[in-house]
Amino acid sequence: MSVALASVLLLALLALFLGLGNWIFAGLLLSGAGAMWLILDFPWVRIGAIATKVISSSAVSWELAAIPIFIWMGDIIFRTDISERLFRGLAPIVAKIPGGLLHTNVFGCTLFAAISGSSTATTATVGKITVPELKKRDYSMSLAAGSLAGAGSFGLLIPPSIAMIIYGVLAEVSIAKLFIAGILPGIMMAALYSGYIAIMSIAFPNMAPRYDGDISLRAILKGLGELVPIGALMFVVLGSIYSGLATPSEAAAVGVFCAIVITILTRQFSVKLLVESLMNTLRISSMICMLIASSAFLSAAIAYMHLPTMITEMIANLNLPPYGVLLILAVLYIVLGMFLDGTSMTVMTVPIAVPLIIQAGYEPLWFGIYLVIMIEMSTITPPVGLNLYILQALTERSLGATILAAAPFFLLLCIGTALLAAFPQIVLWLPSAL
Amino acid sequence: MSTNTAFDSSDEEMSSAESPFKFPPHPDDPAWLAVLSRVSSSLNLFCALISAVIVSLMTLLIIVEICLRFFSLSTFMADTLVGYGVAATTFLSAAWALEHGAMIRVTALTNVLPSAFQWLAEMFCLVATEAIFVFLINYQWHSVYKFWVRGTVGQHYIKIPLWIPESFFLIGLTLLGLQVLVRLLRVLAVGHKSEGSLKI
Repeated sequence: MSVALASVLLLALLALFLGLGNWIFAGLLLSGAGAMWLILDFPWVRIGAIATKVISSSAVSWELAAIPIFIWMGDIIFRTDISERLFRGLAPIVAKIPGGLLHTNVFGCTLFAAISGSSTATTATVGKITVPELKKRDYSMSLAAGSLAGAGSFGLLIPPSIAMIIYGVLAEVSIAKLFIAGILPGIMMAALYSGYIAIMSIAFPNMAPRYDGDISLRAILKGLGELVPIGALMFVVLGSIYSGLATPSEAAAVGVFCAIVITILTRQFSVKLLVESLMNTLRISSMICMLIASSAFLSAAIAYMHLPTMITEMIANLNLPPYGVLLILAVLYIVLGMFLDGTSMTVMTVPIAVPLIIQAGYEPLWFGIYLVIMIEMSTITPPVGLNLYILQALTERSLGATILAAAPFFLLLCIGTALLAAFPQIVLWLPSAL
Repeated sequence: MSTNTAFDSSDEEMSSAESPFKFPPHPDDPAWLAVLSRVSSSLNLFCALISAVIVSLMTLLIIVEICLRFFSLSTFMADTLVGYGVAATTFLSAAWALEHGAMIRVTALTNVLPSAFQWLAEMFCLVATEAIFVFLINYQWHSVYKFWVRGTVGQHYIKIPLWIPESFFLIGLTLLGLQVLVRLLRVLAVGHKSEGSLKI
């Protein structure tokens, strides 16, 4: 069977099983079995043997342990007064920058992202305190919603990141190196967002009124004191990984321990908090790990079809420049991101995209960061942009207004991606230096 | 919203789904279906609680392993047990997560379909999903049975009989199959509109 026909049949199976509204993990299982039966003409006995072996073994992984444990750590912190502390701590520090308190969105998300691997948790945690405060002070809600939409997605880019763990496991790239590689792009994106906010605030001063609170040195020092718990957790989690003392899974376990200690020290600990955070962790991690396990079966089907090799050869024969391959993938991811969530996008595309990107001369480590930014874009593109719906609820504006507010920050993400493509060292320098 | 975890969700359903220990209410269920649904929900919750304990133990084991490292000691089994633990938590809590609306489904297309077509699409999805689960249960059962009879153990420092970790997948599949069967019967007995859970 030709590569074109095999690809079309596989896409048709995915469209049928996912498009009709099935659970994505079940759709992937059905598509994998369907592809083996229809395209490869495997007997059902063989399909059953492959499926059970691949699915059950793909979930047995030390590296995957980082997913539930990091989610648990973030969920414990999410249930504390961290968002109030972030705002109180950052407000006097950012007040003098053009744009004033709007920067609490960017810096707040950057800091929270360093202890949480989820973009929705980052957006919700920071937004639930900054949006009412900014509204109360007559800040532009458009700029507030837009900056939150953009910066909220830092949860994926700034380590620890669930998206990076998934990519690392699937593409067999060091998760610790991915974590290190995400730092500079994260800081670069934060600088782009803050720069845009500053420029808009200078051009339209009524978008960001002057801060009327205390901005003395004493207030700034007091503010820094509010940030101590989050700083301590960042130091323990990221420090243990970067110093080589702990693997990401071990750092996650230490992070849970520290998060519990912080809740005890700040007198917010309760058994209810612990149990509810644990049960919420199960919901999310089970969803993610089931997607990984079922995609492993689909990937096996794709591998038996030799599809990655055939597609790579086909693209190589087109003699596209490396940027051409990146551009095609970017368009594909933006379109997929309109309809799928980030985890589904990752598990479905990595088996084919990684060989393509290696063929084009890019490093899998670099591509991991590129993919994470594509997933960030998917969180703010309609109709399926989870962060847009969180922001719509927080700002009480229409969905259309929220989408428009997020649009400039979507463009900034595109500019950031172009910069990473032009200067790959932004991603690759830190992992090679450490 | 185009990606959600089911079709409809009332406020009552959302609040119940937010509580991890409450079963999502289905007031229109006939008595026989309510009993079956309760059995499925109870088993799902029981296995989810076991998963929660396993996640806690995994975390504790990793911390113990790190502490032992300072004394040049090791349990020599943390990576093996944690690896199996991830699989156990994933499969044992999958049906509970599905019941509580945590599993993602794309509804961009079905949302714009007329009600009758939505019902047909839902039936197709449920029948196809149930079929793949039954298919996998059949083969996984043979796999577990084979490991049990032969007494096969893992190639790690700690010799765990392989039928134990393989059973987690079998149990998870069985619970998923039961949960989807309940949904299928509910769609047939009550109709499409009563089926619902959390939106994400």
